[in-house]
Amino acid sequence: MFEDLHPPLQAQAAVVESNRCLNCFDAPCTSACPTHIDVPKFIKKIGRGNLRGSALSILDANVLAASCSRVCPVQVLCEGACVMHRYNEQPIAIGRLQRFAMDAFHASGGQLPRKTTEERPEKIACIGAGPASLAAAAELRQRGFQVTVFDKSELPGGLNTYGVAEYKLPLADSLREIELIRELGVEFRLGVEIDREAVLAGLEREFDFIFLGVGLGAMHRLGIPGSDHDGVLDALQLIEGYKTGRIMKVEGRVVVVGAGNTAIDAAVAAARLGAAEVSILYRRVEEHISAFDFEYKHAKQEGVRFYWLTQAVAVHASEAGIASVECVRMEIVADGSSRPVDGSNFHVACDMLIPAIGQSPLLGLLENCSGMRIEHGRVVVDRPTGQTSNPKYFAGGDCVNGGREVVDAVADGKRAGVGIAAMLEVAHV
Amino acid sequence: MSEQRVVPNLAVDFAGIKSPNPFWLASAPPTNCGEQVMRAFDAGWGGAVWKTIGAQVTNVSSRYSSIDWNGQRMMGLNNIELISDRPTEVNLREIAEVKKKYPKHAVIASLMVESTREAWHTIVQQAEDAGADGLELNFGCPHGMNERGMGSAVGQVPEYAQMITAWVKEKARTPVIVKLTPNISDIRVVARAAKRGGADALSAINTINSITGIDLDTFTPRPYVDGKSSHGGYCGPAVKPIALNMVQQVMSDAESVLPMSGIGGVAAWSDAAEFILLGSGTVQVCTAAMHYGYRIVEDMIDGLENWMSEKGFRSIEEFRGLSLANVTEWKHLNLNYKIVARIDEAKCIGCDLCYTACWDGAHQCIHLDRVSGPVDGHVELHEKPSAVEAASRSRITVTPIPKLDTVDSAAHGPYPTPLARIPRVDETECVGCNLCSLVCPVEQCITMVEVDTGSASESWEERTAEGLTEKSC
Repeated sequence: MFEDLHPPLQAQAAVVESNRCLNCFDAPCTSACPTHIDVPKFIKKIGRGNLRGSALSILDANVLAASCSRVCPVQVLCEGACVMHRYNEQPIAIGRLQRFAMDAFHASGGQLPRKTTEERPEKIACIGAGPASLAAAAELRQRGFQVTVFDKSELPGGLNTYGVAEYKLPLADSLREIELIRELGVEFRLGVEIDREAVLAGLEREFDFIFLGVGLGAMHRLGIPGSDHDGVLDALQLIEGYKTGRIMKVEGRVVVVGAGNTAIDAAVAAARLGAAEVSILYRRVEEHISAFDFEYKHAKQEGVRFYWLTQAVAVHASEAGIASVECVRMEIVADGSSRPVDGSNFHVACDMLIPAIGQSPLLGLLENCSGMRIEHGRVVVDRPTGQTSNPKYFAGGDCVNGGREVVDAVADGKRAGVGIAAMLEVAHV
Repeated sequence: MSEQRVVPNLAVDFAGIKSPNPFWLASAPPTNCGEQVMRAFDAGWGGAVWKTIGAQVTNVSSRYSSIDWNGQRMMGLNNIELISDRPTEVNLREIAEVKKKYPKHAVIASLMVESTREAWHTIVQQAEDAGADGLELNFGCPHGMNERGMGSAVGQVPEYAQMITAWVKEKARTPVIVKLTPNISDIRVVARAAKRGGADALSAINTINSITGIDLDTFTPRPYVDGKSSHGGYCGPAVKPIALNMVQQVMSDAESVLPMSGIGGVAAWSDAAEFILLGSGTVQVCTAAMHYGYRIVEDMIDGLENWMSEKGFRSIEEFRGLSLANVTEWKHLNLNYKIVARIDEAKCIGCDLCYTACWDGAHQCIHLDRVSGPVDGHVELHEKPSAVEAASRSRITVTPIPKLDTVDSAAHGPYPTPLARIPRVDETECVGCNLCSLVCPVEQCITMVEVDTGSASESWEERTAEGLTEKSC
């Protein structure tokens, strides 16, 4: 049901593909990668049969390289920047080559290297066990610091574990990658919610620095009549549900509201889980959607139907469950905004409604961190170091960038790890 | 208006051996038996030099190893196979059969026997009685046979080569070709000896002594024979430049020059054209046929015909040796000729391999300064490659989200590749070495353009005729 969207490369194919790489100087793929993985370097190592060296050079830049190789929108990152586009050729399959190197590394029992054998006494707390925190934690632990990661969930990984479509990254593979970080000596305290000022104050006393990789809050609610019905499940709840095995099957007609990447993940998952019909409602038109073009095409290939210029206004249900979503037609007016067309109401038959209209900021906790500047629900940081306006706190990932890709969170976390280490190393000298 | 195209005739008369075209299979596994040679002729080959007959041998298993390069198989092939291990009578009978069925094709018997006059007289008589159109004396095989005083053991000693050639000539009624070994410091020494011995023609080169590689798990070189290996003979595309050089050396030497059958890395019509331009009358092919089969001759013929008619050559003789006059000694080259590299911005794909090649492998005169502003002059004035890379690595990049992040197209410039990635040549420093144009993956993107130095042509020999001066150094 959830076989790989991009299946792994066979060994010989990986060598052929690696030989195709031109080995550009100051390669555009490397610049395009938020974590600046030295792409030609790792690719040429595959071609020369140095798989361990290849994986280690990748991990040096990006400790979550295995999951990034599967979930990154490479079409707009490394592969999008490949000079082969101007050479009338397909770009190098960088994502699949990276996965090849990382799969080989995991299969051979590879471990993350330490950058020093020295043990440092300083302690750092990372709040949230998603990609940003994991990257910060690994970087600091590799440099000998004592790191503890806190998360309210039972499993580490954040959205990498709970929120990425299974056909891109299976849950088990996310956990395998994190296990290497645990083996480095990072301590995980899971099922622990850091939600009160008192708890935070305790952490401030115990730890020298605190990294916030808390991500975003719950998904926005639809807020229309009937949308509190039990048959309404937001996209992240659906994805977490099927990834953890709580949801094994979807039946009937599914309606997804919103046209971002998460909406598409949810729609495709519903289709693969058995839905008879999956539709996406979007209040504007095709060229306005925030999903990547290749995600949109993927959804269409999976048979997802799109209703453009359509806004849900009410959910109608009976005792048997949801019956339909009442919609209204929209029109784009002169100033580019959209507005409902009077009297255009119609019904879309629906058994399950999935809102996917973005996540809200996790303000509750952030506001407890005294003196930390927050703008538009995002933590304000010094970009090169990730330090917040409260010098004890660093931050990265979705809570800083408002919700981007795993690789952006890893880049933020790594920069913060380096930033924290730099401060401690100065203090140490 | 109909196009007036010359219809070339590929037929050759090589030292008296007639062949419908200059493409011969070299003495090797593809000419091991009559059944093979007949299929080869059906495929279009003009001639075949039979796998060497004469001395009795037993072959080992395994026999070949190769060099792969960047995913390409068999850039070079190595073998430790000896001469034919079939009974001489069988080979002779099959030669006779082939000649009967293919009277217009060239069948040359490659011979190698122990170094006695009687042995050579006998094998020459047998081969000619079987109907061979000519004889090729294998003085080149660099493995196995040389340990028994044959093959390259003969080809490396001019006196032996001359003596045996003379013995053969006492008996032979057909043209005698001496096959030269490259495993010698100056191939002309043996070529001259062969000529003195009365040879009618030469063929070059035989395979080059080699160890192609070592298995990094067993520490044994390849090919592997029960825990050991032995040095072998190297051939294939990798050896072509060495072969061309040796053919040129022989063909430019008055004491050596004879009809030449060029051998070494011929895999396409264009390779053959190069050997012929250096004086070869025929070419011999082995590795390419072992790699892809006899069918490759179709395009060798077709391609050569098309090129010849494009150039207006009606026969092989019309262009044979034309390039010999263009090979000279270094001391005669014009020191005042200057070319510089030009990069076609519209073709550049931005790989910047020319930049790194020029900085690390040449003369530090290609720069990435189209955005910051061009600077001409010596190396200290320019940003170094490490600084260019460091600037890229320190840049913070995020995944572009459509509708959220607008692409800055102004910084892009007028070409498909962003201006910052299109290298620029500082022509005041460029020495015209060609390296950038060699590494550039795009056809005709970097061209070498002549610039007028305003000085008359002057060679090293002319410049130093009066003795070395400060100017000449």
